Amino acid sequence: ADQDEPIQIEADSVELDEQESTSLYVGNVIVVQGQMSIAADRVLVHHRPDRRPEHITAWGQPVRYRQQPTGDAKENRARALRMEYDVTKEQITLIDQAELLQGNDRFSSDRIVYDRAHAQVKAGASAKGSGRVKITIVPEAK
Amino acid sequence: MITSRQLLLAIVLAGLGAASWWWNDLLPPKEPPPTPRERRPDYVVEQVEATQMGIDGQVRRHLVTKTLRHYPGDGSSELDEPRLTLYTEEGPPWVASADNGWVSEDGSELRLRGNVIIDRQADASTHAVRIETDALQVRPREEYAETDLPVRLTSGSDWVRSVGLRAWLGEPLRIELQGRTRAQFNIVDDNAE
Repeated sequence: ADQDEPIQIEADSVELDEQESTSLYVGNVIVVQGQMSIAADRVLVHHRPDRRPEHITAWGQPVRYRQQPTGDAKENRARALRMEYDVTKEQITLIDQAELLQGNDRFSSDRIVYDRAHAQVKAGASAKGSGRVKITIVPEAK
Repeated sequence: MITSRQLLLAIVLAGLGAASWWWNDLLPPKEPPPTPRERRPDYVVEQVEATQMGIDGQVRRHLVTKTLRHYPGDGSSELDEPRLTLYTEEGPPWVASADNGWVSEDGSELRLRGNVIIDRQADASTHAVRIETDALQVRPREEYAETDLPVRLTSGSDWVRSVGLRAWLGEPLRIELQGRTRAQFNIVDDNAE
C-alpha cells in the first residue's frame, strides 16, 4: 500500500540531529510517499528509535498536499499553513486556513483531520471554537 | 608668457626623463624569479601505525598508513592509504579511510582525498552510519569533519545525498547538509522487502 512506501524528502538544506531524533528540511521541500506528495517551505521529521519517520510537520504559505487517485478513489488535494502527518496512524491534520478537496467536494475549516488510509475526513472542528466548518458536497452527475 | 625659470625647469625635467630611460636600458636583464625549491620529504616511513592517547590515558586516535612522507618545510606529512580510527568521547568509534591524505604538523588537521569513506559502527543505541565523498577535511580533536563536494550518507537502507556536509561526529551525531539534498527513509522492515 502507499503507506508502506519509502518516504523521500528533498530540500535546499537539511540538518540531521541524532540527539533529538529529528531531521529538518528547509527551502523548497518536497515530501513524497507513493502517490502522496507534500510541498512546503519547511519540514521537521521526528524519527522512531529505529530511524523510521514517525511524525512529519510541514509549514508553508501554504503547505500543499496531493494524493493521486488510485483505483476508483478520487484525487485529493489539501492546503493549510501547517500540516501534521502521523505516519503510523496514517492521519494528516491540516491546521490554519485548512482546505481539503476530494474530487469536487470541498471542506474548509481551521482544522481538518484526514484519514489517509480510508480517504475520509474524520473531523472538521474549528480550533478557535467558532464551530464554522464549511462543507460543499457536489452530487455526482447521474 | 613662459618665464625663463619655467623653461629651465622643463628642460631639466626632460633631461632627467631621458637619463633614466637610458640608465634603465643599461641595467642587466632581470633574472627569472627563483623556481620554488621542489618539495622533498626529509624522511619516509613505510607501514606506519600510530596511536594517540588522551590525557585520561584513553586511546583517542589510531592511524594506520602504508607510507608516510614527512616534509621539513611546514612539518606536514603525506599519507598513502591512510586509515584513521577516531574514538569519540561517547558513542562508537568512527573509521575513516581514503586513497591518500595529508596531516598537519600538530595533527590537528587531516585532509583525506579519493574514495573517502567514514564509517560509524552501530551499538546498542545508535545505528551504523556511512559517509562517502571524494575529499574530506577532518579535525580529529574537535570530532568534526566537512566537505563541500557531493556526499552520500547511508544507514541501513536509508540514504541521504547532498553537496556539502558539516558533521559533528561526537555523540550525539549532528550533520548539516548545505546543498540541494535528497533523503529516503524506509517504512517497512528492510528484510520484509
